[in-house]
Formats: sequence, C-alpha cells, structure tokens
Amino acid sequence: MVHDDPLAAQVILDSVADGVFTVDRQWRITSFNRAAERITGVSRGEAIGARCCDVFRASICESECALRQTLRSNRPIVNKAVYIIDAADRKIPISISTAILRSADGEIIGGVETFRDLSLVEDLRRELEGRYTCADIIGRSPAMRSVFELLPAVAESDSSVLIHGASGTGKELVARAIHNLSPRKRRRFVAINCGALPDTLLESELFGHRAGAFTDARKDKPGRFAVADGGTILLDEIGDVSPAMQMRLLRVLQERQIEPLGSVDPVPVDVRVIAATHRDLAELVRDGGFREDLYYRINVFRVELPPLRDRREDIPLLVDHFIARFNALQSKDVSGVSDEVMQVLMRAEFKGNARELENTIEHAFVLCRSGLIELRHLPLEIVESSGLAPDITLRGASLSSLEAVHVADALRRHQGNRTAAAAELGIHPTTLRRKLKRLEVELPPGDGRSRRRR
Amino acid sequence: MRIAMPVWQDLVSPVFDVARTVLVADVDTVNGRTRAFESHAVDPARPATTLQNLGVDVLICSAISPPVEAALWMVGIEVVPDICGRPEEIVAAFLGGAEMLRRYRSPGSRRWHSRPGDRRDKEVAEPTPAPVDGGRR
Repeated sequence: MVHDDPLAAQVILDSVADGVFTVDRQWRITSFNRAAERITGVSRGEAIGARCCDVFRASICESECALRQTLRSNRPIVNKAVYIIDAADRKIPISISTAILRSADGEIIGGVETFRDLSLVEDLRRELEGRYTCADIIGRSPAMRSVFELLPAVAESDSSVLIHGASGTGKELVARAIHNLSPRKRRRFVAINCGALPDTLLESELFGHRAGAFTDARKDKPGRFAVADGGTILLDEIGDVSPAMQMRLLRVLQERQIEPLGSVDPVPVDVRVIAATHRDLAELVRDGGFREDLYYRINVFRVELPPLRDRREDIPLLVDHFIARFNALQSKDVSGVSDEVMQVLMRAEFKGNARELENTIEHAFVLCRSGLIELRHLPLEIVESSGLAPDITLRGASLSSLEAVHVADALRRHQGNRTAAAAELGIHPTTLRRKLKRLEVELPPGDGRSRRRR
Repeated sequence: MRIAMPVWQDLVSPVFDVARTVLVADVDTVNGRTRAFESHAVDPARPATTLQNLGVDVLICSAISPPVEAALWMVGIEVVPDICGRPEEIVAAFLGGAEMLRRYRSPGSRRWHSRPGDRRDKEVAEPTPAPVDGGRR
C-alpha cells in the first residue's frame, strides 16, 4: 500500500498543487507539502513539530479554526475563504478544506488541511470591483512609504482629506484605499470628476434633483452625495470648480445638508469628503481663484503624491506589477523586461506618471506574446524620452519590428480603429490589414470594430 | 515601559489584525522586572488608536499586515513582529535581550535570522520593520 510508505506518501503530497498539512491531536504539524512551503513561505523543516497556528497564521485561527470545527463536528469544511499572513508578511487570500485523520483502527489521530492560493483570482476580482487598499499601491521608495504610513491614521479619522498629485499618480487609488481602510468601508465610495462637468450639470450630479426641477427632469434623481450617504465621496479636480460651485460645496461641508435642485427641504447627509487636485490650491487661494474657507475645510489632512520621476526606484516594482496584471488579464506569459528596456524605463520622462508607465507596458503586450519585453516592443516616444544613444535604443530592432512599433502606436492612438490608424499612416485600410497580419501585430483589447458591433 | 501582546489561549495570537485581546505588561527595563499584567479588549477597526490610548510603547506579536504595522509605527508604537509562545516567557525574554527573544521567533520568519551565530548580534538586535511596499506579489 502506498500510504504505508512515508516516502511515497510525501512524493504524492508534493505533487499536489494545493498546500497540504496534517496535525496531530496537539495541533503540531506532522507533514507539510511543497505547495504549503511555497504559499506560506515556511520551510518543511521549520514547520514540522510547530503549532499549526504559528505556521499558518490565518485570520480564522483564533476565532473559528476550521480544523477544530471539523474535529468537533465530525464534518469536513470545504473551500472556506480566509487569508493568511505569510513569512514575508504578505496577506494571501486562500480557500481551505479540512478533514479528519484516522488511524487504521478508526481512532482520530489528527486532521488534514488543504489550501489553495487565491491571490490571482482575488487580484482580478478586485480589479473588476475597484476594491483597493494600501496593499494595492505599489512603492518602496521613501516618498511612498511616508504616504503609506499616513493612510491608516487618515482612514481612522473622519476628517476631510486633500490629495494633491499630478495626473496619473494614483489619486483615486489612494482615495479608495482610505475609504476601504475606514469604518465607512461597508458603504459606498463615489467618485466624481468636478472638472469635467459644467456647473449646472455638476450641481444636479452632486445634489440630485426633484421631478420638474427643469425640462426633462421627469423623475427624482438622487445626487452623488445622497448615493454616498454613510460612505465616502471623492471630489476629483476640485481646483477646477467655479466660485459659485465652491460656495455650494462649502455649505454642504459646513451644514452637512444638501438641497436637491427643485427642492426647498434640505436633506441631511453623512458623507466623508475626499478632494483631489493636480493644482496648487494654496496658490489658487492667493490668486483669488479658490475660496480660502473651502480650502481650509478640505485641507484637514493632506496627502502629497509624488510624481514618478521622484520615485524612480519604484519603477521595477511597478513594471513587475503591470506585467503580472496584463499576463492575468490577457492570458499571456510575458516573463519580464530586458535589461535595456529597464534602462530605458528608468530614464524615461513619464510625464503621465504611473498611468503612462502602465500604458507603456500595455503597448508592449500588444507586440510581445511571451518571453521578455524588448526595446522594439516599446513606444518610440518613451525610448526617445529616455535620452539613451540611438545605437542602444535601436540595437536588435529590425526594419519590420520598427514598422510594427509604428503600426501598433497608430492603432493605440485611435483605440484600435483601423480606418483611422490607416489614415494617419497614409495607407489604405486593406494595406494596414495585410501589414497587421504580416507583422503579427495584435489589436488592442478594445478594438474599434468589436466596440461598434456591441 | 508598556508592552502589549495579542493573546489567545495563553499564547501570543497568530494574527494581530484580528486579535480580540491584548495583554499589557508594565516592565521596568532598568531592573528587568515586570510590574503588572492587564488584559484589554482591542477594537479591530482601530487597533492603533486602542494601543495608543492604553499608552503602549512596544507591541510584540506574531503575524501583522503591513498597513496595520505602518499605522502603529505612525502613532509611535514600536512593533516587534514574528514572535510566538507564552506571553510571560516572551516578556522575560524581551527584557533579557534580542538573543533570548530570538528563541521565540515564528517558524520561517524572515525578520529574525534562523540560526544563532549566523550574523552579528547587532544585526539580530532589532527585527527590521516590514517594507511597506503594498504587499504585491
């Protein structure tokens, strides 16, 4: 029998992709397979003989240990979602299943727990649902560390927050993280770009309107403040709102009440306000473009997001993160970037900050199916902005690969619309189609043609 | 000095983030004596504020997630993570120095060196705080 041979049993356990460990009646680990080592970061040698809770460090160890429940109820637990904190102090979402271990004569000798790493699934789900925490903001630089250190304390309080940072630095991500770390996390997070809407529309969007308030207002519509009641509202680009709207926002912040358009009764709201801007509000106040009283109302906590050029040491981490994300989203197997590409990325300007770096990696994914991202896969303007010598940037780039870069660039600029891209390149759409096939250029994910069909 | 430890079943809790009780010890670091142990409830939504209100200087715990650890450092509480075992023994080891405390390190801990004598005592003296890197894998 295989199970009588401990070595054979270990080989079988090590071949399983899920983590598996067994414990005796004293909760000491008696076996620990290779996947368990990988997921927890604890070696078998250190795990065997240790208390399972000291190795596994799961969120349920203290309150509702699954193995304990199984041993007590005599019923297995299947695919219960929990998280562990691994040896490198990372929070890993897992699903666990448990069963009782019996000896040959039926005596209970312990339990067995199997667990599966759900990090990838959780990453994708979070991407879809927009649930972000500190752990989603990438950076080890001193500039970002000071932001991380500030966020939990900021989240715990209920004061207004002003997030200042250039475009693409992750202002909304930080606002979501503050919301998700705060006691308001079970209620809604609502974001609105104040700079994108004219005053009348913005007022209706923020405060809502009653039926008949204006032409076409046939039904009551709740505003974003009402939707975010009990939760958090992000007023993005607050530096771009008109003086009249500033006055209205000030009243909401002071009185904690909104007046929907067409209504005479104020409605109380309990909303935490986070404002964000790329502008220097203090300077705007000095120039008379922004109300001083509103500035002080929203500037209780200030979070300063550094531009990417001030935290270049974070670029390799960000690149790894974006590659992992696009690999998951596009089912590809890109392993990383070449040394030359990293050299270029570390020197490129990235005026659009982390968002531009993300777009750069996405662009490279169009041209690179697997293996390393090479220079020929990068947008030319990024390579040029790095200021590296042409012989470095063009090394290894054939004429056809440069052509592929130009074609992919044009497609990206026109969101995959081939007719528009062909017009920009000065060629017929049929010629472009032939080139796409010959150069093996993949269309961007949301290409123009499929969008029209939907 | 006030030391806090999350406790469960007479042991340091596996994960501080979800711990419900902390044992707070007043220790005399000069004479190496522990004056008193008290048990307090923790508000899991505001762990940093809870410990700050208790006047805690140092938290000794097993697992702790980077955001919670950052919140504690932010309010001036020193965190000594990756420690497991019986709280009374751990406080005594804490007063005895890093070399003694290391005997209680969690299995697989990356912050405490695995083998005594591998590194200089100076390096072992203080476990390094976790890089607050967003925890990306």
